[in-house]
Amino acid sequence: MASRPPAEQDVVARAQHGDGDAFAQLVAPHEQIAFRTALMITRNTADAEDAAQDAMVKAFRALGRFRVGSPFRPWLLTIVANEARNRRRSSSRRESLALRAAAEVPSGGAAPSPEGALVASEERAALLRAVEALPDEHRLVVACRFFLDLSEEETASVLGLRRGTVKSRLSRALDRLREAT
Amino acid sequence: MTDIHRSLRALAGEIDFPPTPDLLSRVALEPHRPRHRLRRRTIALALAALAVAVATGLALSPGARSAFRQLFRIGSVQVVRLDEAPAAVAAQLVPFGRPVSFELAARSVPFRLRLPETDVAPRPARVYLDRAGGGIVSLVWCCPRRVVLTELQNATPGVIQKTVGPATLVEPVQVRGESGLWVVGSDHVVRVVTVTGSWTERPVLVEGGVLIWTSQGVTLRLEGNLSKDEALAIAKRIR
Repeated sequence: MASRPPAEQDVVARAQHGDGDAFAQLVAPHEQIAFRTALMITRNTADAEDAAQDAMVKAFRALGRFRVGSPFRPWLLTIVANEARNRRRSSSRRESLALRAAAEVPSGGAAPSPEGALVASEERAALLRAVEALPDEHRLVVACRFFLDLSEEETASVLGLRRGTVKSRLSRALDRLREAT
Repeated sequence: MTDIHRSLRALAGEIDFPPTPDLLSRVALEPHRPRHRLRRRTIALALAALAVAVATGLALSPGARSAFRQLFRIGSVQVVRLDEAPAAVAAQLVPFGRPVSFELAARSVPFRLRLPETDVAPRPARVYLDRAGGGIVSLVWCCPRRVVLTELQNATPGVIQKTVGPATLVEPVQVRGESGLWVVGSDHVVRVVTVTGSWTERPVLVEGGVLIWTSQGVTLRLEGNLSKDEALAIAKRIR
């Protein structure tokens, strides 16, 4: 009989009893999004790395407070976001997001003409610049929803907002992006 | 899906994110067992021992039992026990006052608002301000459980009055060396005196319990679907 991977709540229970391997197993699927969440908030790679690593320590310490059966990812990302906000306050360095080089971007169909590719690339760069120029309260909602692909509920949890606020901020942010591009 | 949605979704796949570093390297340096869990267990055992000692004392002392039925004062909150259940009980937790921003609430009261010192608790989802008694601020957290922390000055005794019936337990507790009360039961009415001096009755149904204590001139009231141990553990982290 094939064995199934253990359910998340079983792994949580083991981690809560101090099983470091279980904690690593629990966190592994969320490491990338945790780091990127921190990056979106701090806008600095070194700060994001520090914030995400410290958040993991805090999550490990706080695991006793995690309610078994609740979704783990939003709980973890909320800790990451809190830690990243603390880092952001102490840092003044800001890095801009960059687009991958054209050759690395996966093609979805027939290769576009060189002119078409150039126009599309410029449009994408303009949109990214417009997102980065948004006020933080709007930029972070857009980043969470589109760049990190978080649900509305997860976005609310990560940013410490109500779902209604997430909706209204996203709506205003999209309006501003339409005007800017 | 609109054009801007499509454009943003496409853009997400083209962002050159830095590679994800090893995030667990610092966790590996941690002690084998999460420290918080040890602390909580220690706290729970200490509080359980204290509760047993208090309950035993109350049971053995007729004087204490008599006082237990009359009046308790903790800061600006009075708890009055009646032999009969007080009138109507509504099926919701009701914060006092009107919704305001945290910043406005903080500016409107003559004391520093206390917040739980935790790694995970974000700022409260809602904040309410009542002008009675120099200002009553209620901070409401909604998720995963609804918890209301009410804060007011100690200087106005009786501005909040709780009336409890025989089905409600009122138990003295200690919160970081200060006297407090743990109130839990199904017949429990709260009144707040308004700025004009008349009583405004706010009946509430207490699903879990209410912890009332004082801290450096401020009366704090923690309400929600919490066990006594959970409420005490939270209270110890409110600074």
